[in-house]
Amino acid sequence: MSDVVVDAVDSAIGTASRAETGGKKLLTTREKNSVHWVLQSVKILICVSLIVAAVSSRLFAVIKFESIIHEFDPWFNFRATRILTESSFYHFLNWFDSRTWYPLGRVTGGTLYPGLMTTAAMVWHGLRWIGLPVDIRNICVMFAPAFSAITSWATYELTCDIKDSRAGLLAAAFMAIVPGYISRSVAGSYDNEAIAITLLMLTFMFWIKAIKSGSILNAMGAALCYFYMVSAWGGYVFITNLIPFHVFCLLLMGRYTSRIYVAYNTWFILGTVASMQIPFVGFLPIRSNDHMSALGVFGLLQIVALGDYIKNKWDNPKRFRPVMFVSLIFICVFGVTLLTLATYFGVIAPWTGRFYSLWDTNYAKIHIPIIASVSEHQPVAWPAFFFDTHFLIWMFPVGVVLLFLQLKDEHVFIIVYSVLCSYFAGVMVRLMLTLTPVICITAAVALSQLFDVYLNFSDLFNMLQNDSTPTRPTLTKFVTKLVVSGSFIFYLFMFVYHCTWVTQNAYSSPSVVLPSSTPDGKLALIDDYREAYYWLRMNTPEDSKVAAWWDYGYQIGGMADRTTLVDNNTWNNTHIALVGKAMASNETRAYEILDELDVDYVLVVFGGVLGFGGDDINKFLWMIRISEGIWPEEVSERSFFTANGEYKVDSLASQTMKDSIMYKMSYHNFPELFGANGGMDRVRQQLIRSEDVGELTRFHEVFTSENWMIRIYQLNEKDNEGRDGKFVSTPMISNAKASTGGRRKRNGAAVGPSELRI
Amino acid sequence: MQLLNRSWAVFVLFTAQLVGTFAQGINPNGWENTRLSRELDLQYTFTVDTFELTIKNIADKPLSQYYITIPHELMGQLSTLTAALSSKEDIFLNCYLFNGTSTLEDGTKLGYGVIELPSPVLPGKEIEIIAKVFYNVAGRPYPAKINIGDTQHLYFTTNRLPLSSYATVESSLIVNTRSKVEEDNRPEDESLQGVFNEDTKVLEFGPWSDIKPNTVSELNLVYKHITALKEVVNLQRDIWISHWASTIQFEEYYEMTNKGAALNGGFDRLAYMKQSQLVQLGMIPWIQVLEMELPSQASEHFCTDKVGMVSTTEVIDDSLFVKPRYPVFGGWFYNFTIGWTNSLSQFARNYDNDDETFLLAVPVLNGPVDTVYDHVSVSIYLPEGTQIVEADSPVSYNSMSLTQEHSYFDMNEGHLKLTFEFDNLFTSIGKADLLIKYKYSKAALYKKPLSIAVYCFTALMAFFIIRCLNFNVNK
Amino acid sequence: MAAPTTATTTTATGKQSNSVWNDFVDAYNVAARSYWDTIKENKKLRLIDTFCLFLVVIGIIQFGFMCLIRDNFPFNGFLSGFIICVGQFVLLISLRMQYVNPFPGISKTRSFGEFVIASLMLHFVCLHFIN
Repeated sequence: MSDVVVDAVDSAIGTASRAETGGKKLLTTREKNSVHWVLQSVKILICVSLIVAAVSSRLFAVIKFESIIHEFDPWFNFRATRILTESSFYHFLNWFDSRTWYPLGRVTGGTLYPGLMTTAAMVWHGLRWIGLPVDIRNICVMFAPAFSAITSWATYELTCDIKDSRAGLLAAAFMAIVPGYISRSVAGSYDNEAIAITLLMLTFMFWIKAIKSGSILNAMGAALCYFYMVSAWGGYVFITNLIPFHVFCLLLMGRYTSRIYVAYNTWFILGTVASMQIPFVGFLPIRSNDHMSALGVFGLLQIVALGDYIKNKWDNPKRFRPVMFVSLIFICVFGVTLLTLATYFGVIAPWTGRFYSLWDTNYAKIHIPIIASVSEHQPVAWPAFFFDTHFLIWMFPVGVVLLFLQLKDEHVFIIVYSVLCSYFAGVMVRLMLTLTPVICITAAVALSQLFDVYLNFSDLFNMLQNDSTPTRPTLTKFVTKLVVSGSFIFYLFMFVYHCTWVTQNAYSSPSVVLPSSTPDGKLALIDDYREAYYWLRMNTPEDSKVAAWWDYGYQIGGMADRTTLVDNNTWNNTHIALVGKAMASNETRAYEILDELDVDYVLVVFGGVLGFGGDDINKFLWMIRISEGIWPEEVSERSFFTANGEYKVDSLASQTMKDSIMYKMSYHNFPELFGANGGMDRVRQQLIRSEDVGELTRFHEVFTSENWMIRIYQLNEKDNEGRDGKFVSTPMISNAKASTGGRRKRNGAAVGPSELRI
Repeated sequence: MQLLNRSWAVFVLFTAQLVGTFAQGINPNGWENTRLSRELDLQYTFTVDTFELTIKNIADKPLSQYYITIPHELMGQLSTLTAALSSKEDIFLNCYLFNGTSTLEDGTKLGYGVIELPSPVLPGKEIEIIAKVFYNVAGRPYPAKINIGDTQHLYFTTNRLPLSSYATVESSLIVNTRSKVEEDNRPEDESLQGVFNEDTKVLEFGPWSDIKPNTVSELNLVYKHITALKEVVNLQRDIWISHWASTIQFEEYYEMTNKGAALNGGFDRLAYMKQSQLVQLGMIPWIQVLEMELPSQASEHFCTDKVGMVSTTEVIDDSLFVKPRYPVFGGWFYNFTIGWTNSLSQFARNYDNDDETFLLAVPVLNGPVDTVYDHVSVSIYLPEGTQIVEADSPVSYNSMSLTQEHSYFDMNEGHLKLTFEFDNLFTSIGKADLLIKYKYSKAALYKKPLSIAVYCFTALMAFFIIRCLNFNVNK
Repeated sequence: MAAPTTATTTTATGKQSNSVWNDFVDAYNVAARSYWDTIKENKKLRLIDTFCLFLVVIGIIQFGFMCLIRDNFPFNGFLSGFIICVGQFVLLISLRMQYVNPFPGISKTRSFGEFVIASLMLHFVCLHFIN
């Protein structure tokens, strides 16, 4: 579907560029006006089809599955949005959520980025106002595709300023369908990133315009978009550092102009003071180290402006140079000293852990296991670059080099952006997202440069018009042009094909529902998550507390509507470690811990029956590591390994492992399902025998989903001695197998196979 | 399950509210039950109590009202009371509930239903009537908790001897369940005991003779009930009429539970998996699949719950099979929303060849078989600018209200929403039609797109003007 | 303008060498002289510069007051007061630059309009920040 559209778009771009380049030479000025109109309407047509392509390619998820919120974080955003639509904005900002982080609770209103929810709620109110009472869920689902259309437009505008409208259209087309961006913006992926990338591009678009024109208004636009960005995503720090860095580079290159002064200062002052309105950000812009570079450049710019003023008034610029350099060095030294002192005395907050892990990839693994345990914080695998951007990845350096050749002010920005982001994307998978736009832009610049030359057949047209017989050199030139442009159009076609394929197969899975096939080859959905969550929602008391690993916190809050102990907002490491400790402890100890926390139900995810790799046993090592970080004397990672140092779950598993409630709860009744010889765990390919799995005495099974993926246990009453229920049976489960559901699994990828098996 | 056919239920009405209290109950000297044979039907989720009565006027003046005694604890669950003359079974008599209770000497509270006879019966004359009382109640699970795979039994308590305000000359009782039924706390007296008839699978009591008015005698029955006791706690049924699309859209939100035996301990998936044999036979006390009988040629079906689509839904012919996300065991809850679309011509037609007046007939319910409904609210959304001429319900309703509801593209006053609230319905009664006569003028029909166009135009003009203004400022 | 910063740079560079010091003083003098000349001629610039000076003074007073009472509560009050001074100052300088040397494509009137909008924005945000 989008295939066709994008193909049409690509050819249309070709036509447009051809028409434009050809137009300049062929037509008289009188006719130029009408050509301009034709071009304009072709451009609008292309933009419209781009928007259609951007939106429709993101709808695979809805067509293949349904209109549903995806993954983990979007469930929280969705829940927050619902609360926002049901109450007032002020109530929302002061929202204290007692249903998470039990018994601590979370000051949710003050610790979230409200931009996404506010926008969705505004859209909801707006639509209601014009007589379209759409369900808030559908707005949330369609949110990311809608904003991706805006991103596409912003990319167009931005690239227009970098090169020209031809490159702009190409960049917009790339941006519309590139998988690296689609991965976070398919329908249902209602995440902060969905809006953040749009705002990122808008901010940059305004910034480039401001730098080029020196207009206060554009700089103000950049500041407003920046404010919006701050309200929407923690990644705003990237802009906070990139723009000053750009200005700093320009200053170093001796390219100070008053336009830069106007643009940067307006942006900085308005952006900073506006960003402090967000409760979660508060005074960070003047207190945290992450924001100091912007402040520093601000100060520097004042001095440079003064220097420039003096220099302009002075008749002898040559003599001025040493004076300026000396002052600059002094100021730099002074600034750095001040910064260090301020950090040392605690006036300014030091860099956060995530920041450190950006520079030292091993930092997180050693110091903060909870950050390392999230798979999107892992370094990116090299094939992912190709997977996410296809042939753009090798057009990217070409584009950067081409920009280097011209090196205007705005080109410096793109170069700085691409260099920084290439590094960051290599460190953290999820920063691939910020790299993707610049890849699109530079690749579009390179490609349009190429097309400018090779797709320009105006010579031939001229010749045909003059009825002159083509000479040999023009013919060979024509053939060369045809070959080059043909091969690149072929690449474009392959790109569209690849994007469609990737979007369809890898990025459109809601990960709440898993696709699978029945033995006779029909598509079946594995809907265990919702089955169990809905059971919790319907059949447990409303104030029940559910203990589960933090990955499922948001989903339990959103779908099961029950109180959780820990969730994906991992603000309290100790509390998470406590849950990890309970899971790793033996029954008696675990019961004590959980009882103290008032827990009613324990939920574990188990993939052994189905072959689902992202289950709790595979994440278990992280639970152990995180709790070992807090209670090294009580939990020891070593004791969960076999004598040979292997992580095993079969009869060789260590006693500590077998005693842990995680093990018992996962494998409770599991061997009996397969008969007397025990059952084969299909994730770990290890045989579990019934004598390995100890009986549960302090917990009892209250629910297990159809494919055993979610198992829920209740704590026994204190005087209750538990129950015995040992059954011996033959397997009777359906042979439904999970096929590869989604490549981007977010959690627990580090241990064991994390993919679903085919 | 065609217990009541369509024409049956249409005329059932018991709307009158006679106010009064009777300390001593109804005057026992009015009538005499010459013969009272009662049949208690316990096969379903609801209970049907049928009385075949031959009554004789023993008073000294003509009587036209017969009072039928209903145990007070069942008054809240009473669904319908119907009566007909034995000679003309398809003509229903006017029946209603008597708004008052009386208390017997032993403390038993009684309520009454009133049957209005077609004409006053002269003293000494006899008349034969058939009265049916429908209760939204079945036996309670006995034992209350069972293991997966155990057979579910229900326990039902009723009166052994006829409970009537009048003296009874001759009476009998038949208890009909689908299976073996046993009596708990059997009395010593053999004449009171019932005999199980293997051929007809019913428990037969009596005949008894000369029973005094208001005789209270307990009968406890234990019987096997192998299917779930489906109860819809709350049903919100929305019916959207669109003349532009010429469709009628149904959307129903169900809150269901199973009143059957709860599980002993938790739900054990392994034990459950071993019951697949029983599942195939349908002999399971839990809700596995719900079959909704939809109007013919329904299209665009959907089934969702609060976390999204229920992917296990299937449509076969005119039925929608909803498989809840998890089997609903006794005491468990499940809620979901289903919807479908039909063409409007199936339900509405022009009235009296008038182009602008329509008669709409929609069934009260489209739910699963053998189900009781505690509370049902049916809302009919008529297009903007409609006027309702007349509305009628086949079953008595608690309230009927008319409000406005703004929906898609409602620029003016909004859809007209007609809401009926019902209590204690069950499947068969819901097959009857709600009748609504309304007027929808051509002017109202064309007003809608026109107003949308006007709004769009205004918005575009405003945009244009703003653009112009901005331009001026920048100059 | 920005008198404090020049003071620090003076002392810093003074230690380097005599010629650099001379250069510096020379530069300062030339700049100051031409500055006064421009101011005398152009009323608009004089107005802008007076306003700038006023803002600097207010900013210093605010800062000094905070140092004096040794307490920065309410911090957002102080901050928005201070930032509004700095922000307005910076915007004024931006406007002044465009007056002295208009950018291509932006007329003086337009730059003034933009300045007004940005100032309004700044004041709105700061007022909101003060609570």
